[in-house]
Amino acid sequence: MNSLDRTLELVGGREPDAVLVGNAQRELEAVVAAKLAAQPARRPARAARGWLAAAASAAVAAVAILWLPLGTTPAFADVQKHFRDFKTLRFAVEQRMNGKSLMTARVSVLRDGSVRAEVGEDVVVIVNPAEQRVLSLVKSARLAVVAPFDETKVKEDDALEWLDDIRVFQGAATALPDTRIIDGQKAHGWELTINGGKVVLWANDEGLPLQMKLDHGVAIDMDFRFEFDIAMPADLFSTRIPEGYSQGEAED
Amino acid sequence: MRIPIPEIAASMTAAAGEDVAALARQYGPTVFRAAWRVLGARAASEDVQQQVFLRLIESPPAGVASWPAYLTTMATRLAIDYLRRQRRLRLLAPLWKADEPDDSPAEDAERAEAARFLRAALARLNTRDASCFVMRHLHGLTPAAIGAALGLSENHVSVSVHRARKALEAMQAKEQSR
Repeated sequence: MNSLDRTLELVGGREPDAVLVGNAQRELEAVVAAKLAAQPARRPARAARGWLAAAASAAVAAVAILWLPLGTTPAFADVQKHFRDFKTLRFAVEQRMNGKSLMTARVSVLRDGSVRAEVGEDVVVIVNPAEQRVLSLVKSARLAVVAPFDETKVKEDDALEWLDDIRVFQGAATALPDTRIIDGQKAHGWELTINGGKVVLWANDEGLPLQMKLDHGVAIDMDFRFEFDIAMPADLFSTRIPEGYSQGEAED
Repeated sequence: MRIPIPEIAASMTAAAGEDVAALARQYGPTVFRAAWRVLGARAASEDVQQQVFLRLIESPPAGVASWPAYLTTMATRLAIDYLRRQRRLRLLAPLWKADEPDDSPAEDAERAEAARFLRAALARLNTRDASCFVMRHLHGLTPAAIGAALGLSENHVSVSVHRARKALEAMQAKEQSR
C-alpha cells in the first residue's frame, strides 16, 4: 500500500458523530424556515403580475413570431466547439459580490496558451509559455516583475478553469425558452450545472458565445462578454519589460 | 370551480418554498456528511450545508435528475472552495487558527496528519479534479454516477481521478522528502 492509499484509509470512511449531524440539521431547518419566512409577503402579488405579464408576453410573441424570419437555434455542441477551436479569445469579466462590483478584468487568450490579463486599471499580467516567462506590470508604480513560467503554479489557481469545464462538459444543457438581444445579435441561452455551480451562457444563431454568467451560490458571481478570433498583435503577449518601467523582485 | 389566477400563482410560489424545506429535511444530513468528509470541521460543514439550501431558495435549479447526487456535488464543490479560501488565508496569515478540524486533538497523530495533508493538498488541485477525487474516494461514488452529477463522460471522470491521484502522490512524496 502506498502512502496515498494509507492516507485514504485513515481519512476515508469516517463519518461525523450523530450528535453533530443532528445539531447541524436543527440549525439548518431553522435557517431555511427563517429564509422562507423572510421572503417578502408581496411575492404572490409579484408572481401574479409575472403570471399576467407572461401571458401578455406570450400573446405578443405569438403575433410577433408571424413577422419574424425563421431563425435556427444552434445546438449547445456548436457553442462548445467555439471554446475548443478558437484562435484568439478576448473577454471582459466583472466579478460581483451581492450585486456590487468587486473587480473587472479584460483577458486576451491565444490558442498556444498565452494570456494577457488587464486587471482593473492598474495591473497587467502576461503569461507567455513560449518565452517561459510571466510578466506582471503595476502601471501606477511603473514597476515590472518577471518570473519564470511555472506551469504547475499557473494551473494551481487557474482563472481559466471555467473554459476547460465548458469544453469537456457532457451533461444536459437546458435551453432557455426566451431569446435576448446582445450587442445587436439575437442570442439563445442555455443553463448548465458545472461542479455544483450554475452557468448561464448566451450565443448567437451560429453558436458563437456572446455572454456568460457564473454563479457558485456564494454571493459572488461573474459576468463575461466574449469576442472570438479577433486580430491580436503579437507584442500584446510579449514579456519584455516596457520602457520607463523599473524591475522589481519576483516573490517565490 | 375556477381558481383565480393570482391564487394559482401564490400556491405555486408557496410550493417552491415548501419543496426546499422538504429537501432540507430529507437531504440535510446527506449534505452535512458530504461537507464534513472533506472539511472535518463542524462549523465549516454547517456553513456549507446552509449555503447549499439557501442557494436553492435564491436560485432554484431546473431539471434535477437526482437530488442526492446534485446536493452532494454542490456540497463537495463548496467544501473544496472553502479549502481553497482557507489556503489563501493561511498564505496571508500563517498563524491563522480559526475553525480547527474536529479530529485534531482527540485523534491519533497519524490520522490527524493524514487529514491535514489531504485537505491542504485538495485545496491545491484543479477544482474539477479535486471534486472527482473526493466523490470517488471520500463519498464512494462510481465514475458513472460522478459523470452524471458533474456532466462529464465516465472516461473523463477516470482521467480526472487519475490526474488528481498523481498530483496528490507527488505532493505527498515532496512533503515526505523534507
